Amino acid sequence: MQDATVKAATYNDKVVRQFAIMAVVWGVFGTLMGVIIASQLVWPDLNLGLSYTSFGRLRPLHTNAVIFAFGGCALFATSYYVVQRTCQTRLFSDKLASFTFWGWQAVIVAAAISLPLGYTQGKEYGELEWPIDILIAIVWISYAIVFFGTIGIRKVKHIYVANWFYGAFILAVALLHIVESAAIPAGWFKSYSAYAGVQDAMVQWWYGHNAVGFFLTAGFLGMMYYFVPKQAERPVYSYSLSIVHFWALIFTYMWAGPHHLHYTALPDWTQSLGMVLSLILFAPSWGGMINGIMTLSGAWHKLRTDPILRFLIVSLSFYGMSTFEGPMMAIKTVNALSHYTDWTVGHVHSGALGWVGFISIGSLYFLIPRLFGQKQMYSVKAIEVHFWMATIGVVLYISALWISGVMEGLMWRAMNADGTLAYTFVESVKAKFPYYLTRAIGGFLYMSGLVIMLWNTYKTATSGKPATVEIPAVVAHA
Amino acid sequence: MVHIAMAASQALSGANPWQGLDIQSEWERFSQRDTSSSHVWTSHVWVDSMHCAACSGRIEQTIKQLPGVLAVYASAASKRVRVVWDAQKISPSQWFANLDEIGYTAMPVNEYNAITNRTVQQRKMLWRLVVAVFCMMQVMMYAYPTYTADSNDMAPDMVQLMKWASWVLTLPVMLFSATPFLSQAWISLKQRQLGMDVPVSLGIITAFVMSTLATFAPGGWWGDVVYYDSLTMFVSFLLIGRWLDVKLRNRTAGALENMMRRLPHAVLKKSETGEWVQIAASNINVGDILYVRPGEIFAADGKVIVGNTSADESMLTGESDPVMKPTGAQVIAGSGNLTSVIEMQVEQVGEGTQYHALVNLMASASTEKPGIALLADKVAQPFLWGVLLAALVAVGYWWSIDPAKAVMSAVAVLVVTCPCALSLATPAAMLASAGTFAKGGVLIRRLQAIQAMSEIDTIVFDKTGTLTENLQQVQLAETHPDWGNTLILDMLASITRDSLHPVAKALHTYAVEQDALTDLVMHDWQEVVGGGISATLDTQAEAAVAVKLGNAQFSGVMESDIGAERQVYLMAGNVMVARFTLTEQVKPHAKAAISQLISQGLDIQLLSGDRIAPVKNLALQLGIQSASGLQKAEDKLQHVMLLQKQGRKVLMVGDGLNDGPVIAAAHTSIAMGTGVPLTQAQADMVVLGNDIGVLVSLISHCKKTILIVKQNLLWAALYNAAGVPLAIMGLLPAWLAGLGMAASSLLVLLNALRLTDWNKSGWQKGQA
Amino acid sequence: MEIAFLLIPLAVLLVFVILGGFWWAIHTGQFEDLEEEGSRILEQD
Repeated sequence: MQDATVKAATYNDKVVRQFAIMAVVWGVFGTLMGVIIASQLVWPDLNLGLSYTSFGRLRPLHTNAVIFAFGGCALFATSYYVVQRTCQTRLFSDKLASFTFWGWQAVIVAAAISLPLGYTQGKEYGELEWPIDILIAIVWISYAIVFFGTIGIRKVKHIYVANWFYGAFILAVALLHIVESAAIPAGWFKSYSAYAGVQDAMVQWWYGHNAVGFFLTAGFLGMMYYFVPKQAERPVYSYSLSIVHFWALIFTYMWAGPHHLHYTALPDWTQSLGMVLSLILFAPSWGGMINGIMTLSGAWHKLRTDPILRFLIVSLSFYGMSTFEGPMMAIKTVNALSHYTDWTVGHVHSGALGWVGFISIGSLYFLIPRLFGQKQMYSVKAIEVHFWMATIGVVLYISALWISGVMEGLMWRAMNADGTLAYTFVESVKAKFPYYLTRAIGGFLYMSGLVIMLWNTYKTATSGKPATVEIPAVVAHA
Repeated sequence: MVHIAMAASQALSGANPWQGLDIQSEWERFSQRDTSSSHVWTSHVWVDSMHCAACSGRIEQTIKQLPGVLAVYASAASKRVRVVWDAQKISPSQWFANLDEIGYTAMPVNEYNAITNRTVQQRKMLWRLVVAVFCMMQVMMYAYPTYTADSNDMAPDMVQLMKWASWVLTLPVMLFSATPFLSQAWISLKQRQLGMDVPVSLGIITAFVMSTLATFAPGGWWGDVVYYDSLTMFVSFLLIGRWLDVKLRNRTAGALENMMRRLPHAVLKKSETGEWVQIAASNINVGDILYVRPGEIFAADGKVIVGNTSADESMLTGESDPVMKPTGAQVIAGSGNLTSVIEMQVEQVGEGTQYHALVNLMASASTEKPGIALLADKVAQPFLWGVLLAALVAVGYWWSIDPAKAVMSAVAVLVVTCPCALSLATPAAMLASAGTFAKGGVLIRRLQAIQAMSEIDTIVFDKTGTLTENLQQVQLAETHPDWGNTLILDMLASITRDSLHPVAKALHTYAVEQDALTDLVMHDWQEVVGGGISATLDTQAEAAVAVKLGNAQFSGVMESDIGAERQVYLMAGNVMVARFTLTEQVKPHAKAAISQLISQGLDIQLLSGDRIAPVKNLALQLGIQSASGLQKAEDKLQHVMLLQKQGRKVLMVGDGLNDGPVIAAAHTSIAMGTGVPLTQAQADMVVLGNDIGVLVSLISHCKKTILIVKQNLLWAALYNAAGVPLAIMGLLPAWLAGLGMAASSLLVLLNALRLTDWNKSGWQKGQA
Repeated sequence: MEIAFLLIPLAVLLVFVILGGFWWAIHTGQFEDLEEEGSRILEQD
């Protein structure tokens, strides 16, 4: 009895702590995979001649580990933290929350085993085989119940904008996952997609693009709308704009997918439609970016002394950059050059490392000391070092791939006077060597930064102890 | 909301649903008693469905016919109706019910209703807009491929699917978002009148029917082209226009409603046991002691009894500097407590406060109809018939060639002429300015005044007090040896007690500062304009002394000094007991402002009841060419009428009191000064505060307002002149017509929004 | 492109679902006093 009342008056930060720590761990693991496959492109011998360690099997492990393990844990951790704090209530169900943690870790471990073994559906970002897909669906539905249940028992009438973003992310990902994963099993480790031919491609990129839109954008925008104001200690620049941002974004994102299928068997009109909607998408994206950055107006000086704030603000500039680049690349004429080249890979990483990575790192640095009853991380100096390593890493990475991608595209289309191709494919591969090396170095720097973060997290956790935070008395809403 | 609920329950039993309003305490919440008659009331009500000049005209006509209704002013721009009615002949429920019958539901404008209604309206408007815009975006998405795809790229069943999806998405736009237009059109048709929404609705419905036929039964004379994109876009733009209009109005009414909302809802009152208890602001009584913290707004007029603070009275006086409020100072409702905690004793609540007078003044201004708007009302009906005729011409012209094109050309005519721009042109600009002025401490009683102000060529200052400080230095220059100083001061303090004249006020202050008594028994107190005060006083020495206080002429004595100072004589019977001199100081900006006005080609004149010498002296200082003293009210009137006869447009500037005839004769008028009691000021505009320089920027802003009104009207006229022929000729597709209409309305609104920027002291920059 | 016959009706349905969410938000007053709500998160921890 006594215990129950005490529990009700505090936040459930245990699950937040678990997810936060694992986010850092999986961050190191995922980027390590990235560094390995980047090195394999430079030194093919690193494939070791084994199928398990070959590029083709490690690459999906890398993407799954960074997006779903690192990104996913960071989203779970922050969304559970934010929804409790802004609703001023404890999570809807401790048991179910705990289940989402262990379930999600099981999914990641299953992925880490099955992918190198070669079990895959062969769909980008949806590689995992059907039994794991079912586990994901169950975990995700539990997540939705915990999150929306908490909203349902909130003590504050208004639902803070970050929760809208998190909520849209949870619902959309549930929908996307179910539609994308529809498959007919053929044994425990094999299945065939429910869709055929160009339909499958259409569904794949409707999913693929929206995974970017709702997993890698909406969810992290939720993070941005809570942690940027918190760290800057000022309210969002324009709260009304943030609401408009939300509705505009979810309304336009859904239909931009076909730009991944320019010049394919997809009907032309579908491609053009995808292009136009991608261009429109630019407006809400930049609205949100400006809103985030301007939150700092009048407090710019804080950037000089606060490396966490710097992570958050630099992440927004990367967000602005990639949401400008994205629509540009969706234009069919630009796409004719960029598609299938390293430019696309560079674009994805400016979003993933710059935006998703930085905003998560910044938010975790805010979160971790508070979860262990500390004022700040064990070493602020280390955050500073991490910031510079990560920034230099990203810049090296994306500039190398820009050059490499444009060069590659130009080489592929270059023609001699008689109409024959000027370069063979292998010549373009050869020309990319220095850029691949630079990219691997950039990636290594980024990963090393995360290793420092892991050390810093360990030190912070061991020098403090898990904190129990009381829910403040509800302020009467006048 | 109590009486609304009551109204609803009574409606069920078949009785007049508004009976709840017939209790005096209920109607008092949105009405004021007329000053002249105890049973004549002026009520303010809000009619939300009144959107256009045609609606307001209909409301006025209908209500005016009721026996007992003395006057009705309806303003579509502010959605307010002001009804003057006689409580002995009619009750509010009767005219409320009458409004119901003609399709307009009225809401009493009192604080609570206005605010809830406003949020509900705002929510609903936003919701309609959001539905329309979201559905439009989706419809556009399905329409886009049909415009751009190669003819063979899209399979016919795909095209059909897109049409079907668009139809489904258009349904909520038709059935929900567009209902304000459709229902208004229906109501006016039932009235056998042509409202502004009729052509619009006709266009929307026709386009929808044509498209529906093309979707489900393609191949008839209606063809197989769908217009869902044009349709949803048109409705969205119309709603954006309405929404912007609401925003603009809220910004203006915002000045009004912010004022209404400014007062706190709850206050801390000292209970009988000496504790502080929280009570509702509506329960404050005169004599209560309230606890006011810094940052709070004073809920009532009263006196500081404990503590020292400073107050922000900018809303009421237009002066932004904080005013010191030591113990004993007066504080006014609506002003803000700035520095420290005080206790105040309430002296005036509710209707009696200066604040309330301000709110009412604003409320009545927003229902006034300026001359240009009346013109728009007049042309509305013929214009609408013209539109229908033009649409018919379009149908007739094209029918034999291509029926589908005929119908859509008619739709284009109906849509492109949507008279929103025309009907918004004037009120949008005027209200924008009125709101802006209100924020700067200039209140407009009649919107007409903006137009009048832009036309003036002569300014007559009818009081020296307008150009000089109210604070005058008083000296006791001479006394009668038989009368003691104390007695003289007691008489002075008592006789000046109730006067608002600046000289009397200065003398009163002077006497009170020397601890004079202000409560001698007084009979037959009378104030003579341009002269002075007379009364019969019971002094300590003897009863019933006939006392006079005033200038030499009034007092019947010889002018004893011809210097620049003002002379005031205190007489007991025929004996002069004392003579006072008052020195006036020119206001700080007066000289610069006057020369600025003169340089703008305005003729400045000074008419004063004061003696000739000080008046001439003041005129000389300020560079005023024409100045006359010793002017009585009738002299001023004659002078102004003479000027008017010469074709001059005269602006009177004074304290706005006791000058009824002169103000009525003048083209327009301004009352100025901090001491002006708003309830009594009769001028068209009231300038709060002391800064004469405001006149310069006020006149130029009025000119700018009229310029923008003219631009708006010209634009609306040109646009229609160009759009209609194009539409009849079939050169205007429906979507372009919708876009054009929306663009012209938005342009008008945005043009008006420019007026919300008013630099009150900007005129000084012209000065070196 | 038979898939369009599934996706487009689904899309239309989704629009109504999202609009439903919006309706709820407007009518429970989620969009009032916005700037104040923006600063509320800074008050507590």
